Amino acid sequence: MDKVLSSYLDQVDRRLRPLPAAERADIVQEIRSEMLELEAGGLTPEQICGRLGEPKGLAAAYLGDAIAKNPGFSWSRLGAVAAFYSISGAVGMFVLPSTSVLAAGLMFSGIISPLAGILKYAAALAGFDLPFIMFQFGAYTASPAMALLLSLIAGPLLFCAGRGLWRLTVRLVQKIGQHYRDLQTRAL
Amino acid sequence: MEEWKSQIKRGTLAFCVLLMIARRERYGYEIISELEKRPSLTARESTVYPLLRRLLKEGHLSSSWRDSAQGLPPRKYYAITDSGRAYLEAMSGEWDRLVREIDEIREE
Repeated sequence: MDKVLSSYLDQVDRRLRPLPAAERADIVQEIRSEMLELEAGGLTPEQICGRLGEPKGLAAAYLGDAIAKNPGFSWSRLGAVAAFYSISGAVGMFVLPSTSVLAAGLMFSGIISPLAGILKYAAALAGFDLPFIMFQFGAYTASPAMALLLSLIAGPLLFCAGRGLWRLTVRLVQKIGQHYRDLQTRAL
Repeated sequence: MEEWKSQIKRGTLAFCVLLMIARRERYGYEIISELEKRPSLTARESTVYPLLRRLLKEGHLSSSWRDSAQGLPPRKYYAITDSGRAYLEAMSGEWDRLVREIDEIREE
């Protein structure tokens, strides 16, 4: 399909976001069908877009009709959708992935660092150095014995921080779920 | 005058669309191009499609996607339901009465 036309459909689709996904897809499919029909009839993409009018206006006509049909219901539903997007938008798309990945990373580090400390110390006892395991903090590099001690302290701390963050993430998810249900009930 | 014309159009479009679909199943663009042949009834996509959707939601129409001839896209066909027929019948009665009453006033 022509670029002008598919960009037109994208714009309509974006503006129909307050509607359920299946309905949106059906609407776009129907407009697409007419576009192809007009194209087969010899119209240029520009003529087709001209005939259909601004994508904004066409999308608004669908949304407007949904509202006009039953103002109370539709306004609150639109409001509910907008509210849900505003919460899950920031929290769902950015915060939750970050905190959950960070939590998993911290827990992993918490387990791996004591193991690394033990390995380094054991190697030192056996008389050789493992260059790929080092305890560094800024310019300070710990001796194998010190590295063992520090990593045994740091490990549990990292692990606890990770687990705390994980619990927080889970609670956040539950809260959003609850909020979402509230919004849905309110919309009905 | 334009304002009055568009009010009439808005008020009668559902009636016209249901009449067309009651005769046989139609797809959106077909309805729009049929209406286009009649200057007083011409309606844009942004009016007809949302109207079809509303009639569908209210149960007066049903729809189905169907493949069409070679080289043409699938089309969404609309058919009238029992509820749609009842609605159309009521509209027809109302329309006849409206025209009759207006005529009565004109002939007084």
